[in-house]
Amino acid sequence: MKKIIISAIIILSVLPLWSQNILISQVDTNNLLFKGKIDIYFSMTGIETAGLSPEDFTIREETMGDLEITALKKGADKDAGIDFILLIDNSGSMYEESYQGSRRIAQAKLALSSFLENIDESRDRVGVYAFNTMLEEIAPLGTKVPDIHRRLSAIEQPEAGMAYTELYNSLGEVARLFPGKAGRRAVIVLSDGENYSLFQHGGREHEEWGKTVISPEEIVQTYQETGITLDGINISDKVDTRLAGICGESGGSFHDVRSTDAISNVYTDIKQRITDEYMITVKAPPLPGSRGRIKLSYKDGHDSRDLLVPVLFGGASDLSIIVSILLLLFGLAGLGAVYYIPFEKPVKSAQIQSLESNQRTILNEGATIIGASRDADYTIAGNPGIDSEHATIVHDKQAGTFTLVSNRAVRVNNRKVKNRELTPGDVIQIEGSTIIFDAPDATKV
Amino acid sequence: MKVNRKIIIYLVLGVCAGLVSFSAVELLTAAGITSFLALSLAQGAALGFIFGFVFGFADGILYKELKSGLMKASVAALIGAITAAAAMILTSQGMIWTSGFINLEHKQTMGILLPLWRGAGWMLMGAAIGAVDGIQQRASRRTLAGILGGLLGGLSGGMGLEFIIRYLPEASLARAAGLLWMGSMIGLFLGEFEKRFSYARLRVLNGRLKDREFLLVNKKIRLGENLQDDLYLKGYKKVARAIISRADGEIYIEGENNSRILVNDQIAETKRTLKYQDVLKLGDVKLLYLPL
Repeated sequence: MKKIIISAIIILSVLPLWSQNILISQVDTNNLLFKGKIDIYFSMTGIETAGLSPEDFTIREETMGDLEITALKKGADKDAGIDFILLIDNSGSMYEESYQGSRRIAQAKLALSSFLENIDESRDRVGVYAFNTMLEEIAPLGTKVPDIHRRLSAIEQPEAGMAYTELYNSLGEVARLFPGKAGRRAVIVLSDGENYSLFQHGGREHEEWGKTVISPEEIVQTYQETGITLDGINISDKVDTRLAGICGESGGSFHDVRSTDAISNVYTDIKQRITDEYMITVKAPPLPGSRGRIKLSYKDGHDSRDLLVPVLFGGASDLSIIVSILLLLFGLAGLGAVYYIPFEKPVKSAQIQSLESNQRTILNEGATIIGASRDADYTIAGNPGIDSEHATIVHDKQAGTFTLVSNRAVRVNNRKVKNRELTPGDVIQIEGSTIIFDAPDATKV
Repeated sequence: MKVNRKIIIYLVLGVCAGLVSFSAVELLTAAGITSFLALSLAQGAALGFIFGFVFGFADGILYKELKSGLMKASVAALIGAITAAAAMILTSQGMIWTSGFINLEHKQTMGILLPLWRGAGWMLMGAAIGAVDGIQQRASRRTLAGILGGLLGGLSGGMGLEFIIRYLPEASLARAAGLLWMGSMIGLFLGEFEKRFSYARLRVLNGRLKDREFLLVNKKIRLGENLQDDLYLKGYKKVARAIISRADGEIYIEGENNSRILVNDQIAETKRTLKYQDVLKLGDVKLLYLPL
């Protein structure tokens, strides 16, 4: 009777999936840039697939409309390896005796060992994780099968405090453990009961997930978006009523396994699904934004996926060509304007200029006094080491010379002098103040 | 021209380059290119060509040398086109490649990742553009300064675009704003990093270039009267060629090919160490050495 009830629950939960007859398992954009094409892998259920041709499908991108289908291929990836993550329930109930007289955990381990015998290690990779209150790594993806056997036998009964069944959070977590998006990925979960989370039933936050309990809808979304299929194996009379639905919507299936032999069929089922997959190739022109969304349709069935479009500057806009050309000319005119701005010009009269402040003083016809006094022609204030009339530049109009005269030694061009005829570009240093002398001269060409 | 004024000129040139490149990108996208690869290459090359040309022409603008300035700018434009096209392909393929590791339909993740991707792409483009001058001069320090300036300018432009795109969702407006902002920021940061990477400046004391300041960035700098010289002294009857070099924390000057140079009014017959406020006389031009 129990068996009939469980089977009915599974059938009822998978029933809504019959309307979903197309499932995209992967959108491969690796050839988008260099070949301008996208490969879409998908499976079809409940459809007569004989004689299918590219014309039977439409692929539409939200902004670009229908895309040109260039190829349709069945079993395009049939030789591809599969990454499996086996997720085993290690909650307290798994250590109860099953209907066969042995503990369920022993039955699950046997089932997993049987599954591992089918693995083709040259192509497939396997990882094993166990969950109860926590998710525990038993063997990371890629561990050799003999090593996995050894690690499986080392799984131990959890302590009393670890007896919760974080089924949903664990399912969400393991989906993140696959590297990349390419290739076929499958999660197989062996469980004997329902999701029973610490936060919902233990009244306290989980040390890793806090108050988060992933919903079945979120699990389905994650698995669909990342192209991972979920297969469930129930090994008790209890069943998580939502699990069968999650498995179906991810593209996997749910098995009510009463013997260890039956689990071998799961591997065969998954292999068969991949063998039956189709690959459709479309030409993808440059899209306007950085993201696109494609929708694959066949008659009433359809499925959609997002894709990333490598367009740094975006695609076409509504700006008219005339405006673009005008802006181009405007930019070039700006360059031209900068070109014609004079940035420097030689001096037209003899002058001294402060290096620090750029203050300029035109030299007098006779003498120009440099000093601390306010009455000096060039005042250097705030320096007690400078006399009120520290130095004088004398202009000999007849000879056309400028001579620096000082009672105390000052530096001209880093050399101490008391009397020195200046030439354009000489640098006068007085007690830390630097003054540049310049005058029109023969350097002009 | 003081150093800060030169940075402002760079900024203005960056804005002009941004405007011209925006128009070029618009014309390219309107050209109906149907291949991702061709469009990416064309956009990257156009952007690099324009920015390379404009910043390569900076010396021509500063010295009012049209012909030789255009020649130098043309080489810079070619280098810019190649580096920016390569950067564009790298960015685009990088976006595709990394998209394999994340969930594209997770809105929160994409809300963070997309701006980061674009920011990284713009940074790479900025770095490619910024490196042009250093590559042309075969000067590692200048290349590094250009790359850093370009990275920051590109990042700033990319972030500016992300900010603007929220308020101006139309592709052309956002692109215009982003490119103008990126151009100005690349110009600003190129100038700023050149300043930060310099170890001294030379100020012209007389003649046509009076008050112009040159930043010394490279380990070896040739001073002369050709536009190809690292430090171009235009507008003097006679300019003695000299080389300034940096080694073991000291800065040296020497005449090139026995040309007569004076340091503090004394003939420098051999390689000579420079110190604060030394006055260099190379023919008719006088320069003040100001270590930083």
